[in-house]
Amino acid sequence: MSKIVIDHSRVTKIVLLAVLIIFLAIVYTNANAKNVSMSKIEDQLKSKTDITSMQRCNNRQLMQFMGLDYTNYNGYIYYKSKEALGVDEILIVKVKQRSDLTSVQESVESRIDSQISTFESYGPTQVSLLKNAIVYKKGKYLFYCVAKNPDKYEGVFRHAI
Amino acid sequence: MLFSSIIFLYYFLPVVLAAYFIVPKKHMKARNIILLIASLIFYSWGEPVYVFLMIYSAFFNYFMALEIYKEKRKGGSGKRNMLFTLIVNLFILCFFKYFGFLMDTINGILGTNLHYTALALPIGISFYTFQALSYILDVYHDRTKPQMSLLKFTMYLSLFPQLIAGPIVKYRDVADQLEDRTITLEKFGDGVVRFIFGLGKKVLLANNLGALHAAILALPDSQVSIVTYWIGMIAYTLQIYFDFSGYSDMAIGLGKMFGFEFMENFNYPYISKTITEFWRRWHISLSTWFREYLYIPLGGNRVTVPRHLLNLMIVWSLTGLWHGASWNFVVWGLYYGVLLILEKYVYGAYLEKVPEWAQHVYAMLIVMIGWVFFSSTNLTVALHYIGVLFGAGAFPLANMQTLYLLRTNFILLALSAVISTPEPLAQFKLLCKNMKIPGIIIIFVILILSTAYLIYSSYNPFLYFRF
Repeated sequence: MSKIVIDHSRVTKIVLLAVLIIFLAIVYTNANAKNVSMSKIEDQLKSKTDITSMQRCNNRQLMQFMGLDYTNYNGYIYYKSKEALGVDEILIVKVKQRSDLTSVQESVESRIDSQISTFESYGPTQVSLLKNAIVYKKGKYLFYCVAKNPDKYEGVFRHAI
Repeated sequence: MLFSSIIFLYYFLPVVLAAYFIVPKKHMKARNIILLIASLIFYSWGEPVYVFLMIYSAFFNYFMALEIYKEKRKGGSGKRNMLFTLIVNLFILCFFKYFGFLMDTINGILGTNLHYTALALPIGISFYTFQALSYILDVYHDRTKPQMSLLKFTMYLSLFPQLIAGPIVKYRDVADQLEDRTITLEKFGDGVVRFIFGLGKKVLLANNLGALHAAILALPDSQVSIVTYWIGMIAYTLQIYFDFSGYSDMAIGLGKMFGFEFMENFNYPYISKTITEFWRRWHISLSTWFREYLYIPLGGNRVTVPRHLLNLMIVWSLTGLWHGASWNFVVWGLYYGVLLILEKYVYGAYLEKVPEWAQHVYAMLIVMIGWVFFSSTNLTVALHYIGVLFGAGAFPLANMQTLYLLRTNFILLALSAVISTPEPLAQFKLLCKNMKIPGIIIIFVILILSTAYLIYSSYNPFLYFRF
């Protein structure tokens, strides 16, 4: 009976390639999102959540509060609490290229840090809301929400895309 | 996680430094483990999934380098293993960075509408892939021995100070430092000073210059003027320098704090008098990488003139593409390729004869126009911007908006221009040599101001993230 010789080196390379392909396939599949217009997402948020209790923000406010220049993106929805001491806000940005998501996320995280620093000494409720903020990326979208029930908004967004 | 963030400055870094220095120097392995864990936490902060890609890349390159080494010791060339490793590394880079660009190009050329999912770019993938490639090629060419410890190699590839924005540190340059590092109080202090200078450049200068540039880009056509667009271009020129060199300073400073010596990445590029000189001073680790691992293997300049021209164009188109998956980056790279060829073969000798100030104006004009290609979202936007700069369209020379921008930003622009030259740092060093206290006060003020800016301003972009 002939002896089977196993080439460990070749087997390791095949396993490494297989692991890579599986990993890339998982990343690619999970990154998929439908191409939904921002107005449709906004309509769903309006009908299924109390987003209208917040104030809809414009291009200037997007730059002022989030540090984001609207011309760099395919669209956005930005609502912010009407109250001076309110920290509730929802931002959805649709980027032109997915590589832009990283910088949007950095801006959002910077905003959260900045808000926490502002309210740290006198606004424990606000700080607690900020610490529960949700930042979620899917496809070309970034979703960010600070609210009493951020999961509710996130659920509507996830369902929409 | 960004270096220029509160969480890094006041939570992550102090904890890592404390953990690192609690361990006695003789236990270098334990220190390396701490650095590795810190690096992986740092990397996974924003994008936890891609930390697996980083670990995979480390293991794959570690394993393949050993395979190449073993094959060579048995008398083989190791070429097949080397090529296999290069292909896999480049495939990963292209999959994340260039897949969307390729699909868009195919759709554009063929008029098709092939659907694809563009992927988020793993942070620093261009930097760590190039580090891995240099390691593999150095092992293949016997310029370095492979690292036998997976821990040390993974630490090298993922080392958080230089992970997300370079400098591109070659393995052979830090191989000894992975084994043993000397940290003196003086070196640690130098690292702190360098880091805080970098932080100031990024937070106090680059972020404010970036806000000015973004504000100008956001102007409606009715408020645009030629001078306003020149201000925007100058602001971006200074922003990208302080953003990237600030980040490099922070990386080099952090490296020193942990006992590493990384290569310099910038050497006052805006004092250059030629484009050739500019590229000796700008992003030195990338230029060195391309020269060593692409330009010289292609034959460099020791070939016929047509072949040399081709080599330069290949290197510069790829340099452009390295910066981003978009045609404007390719054009930006080719723009420099053509200019370097012209300087070498056409007008370089004449340029040397004109007054120095004219040489400087020439170099800066070319560099600033180059940044328009770099900062624009696509070629159409870039060409429109350049058109306005030179009077195309019905835009006025200046308007009220121009005066307002000049009045509110003149000090920032002037200060930034001065700080982009070697003189301020030379003066600071002279001051510290004679009197320690004022130097310490300056550093402390920069740190406090930067912290205040980070707390109260949400505008903290980072240009080199997309690379």
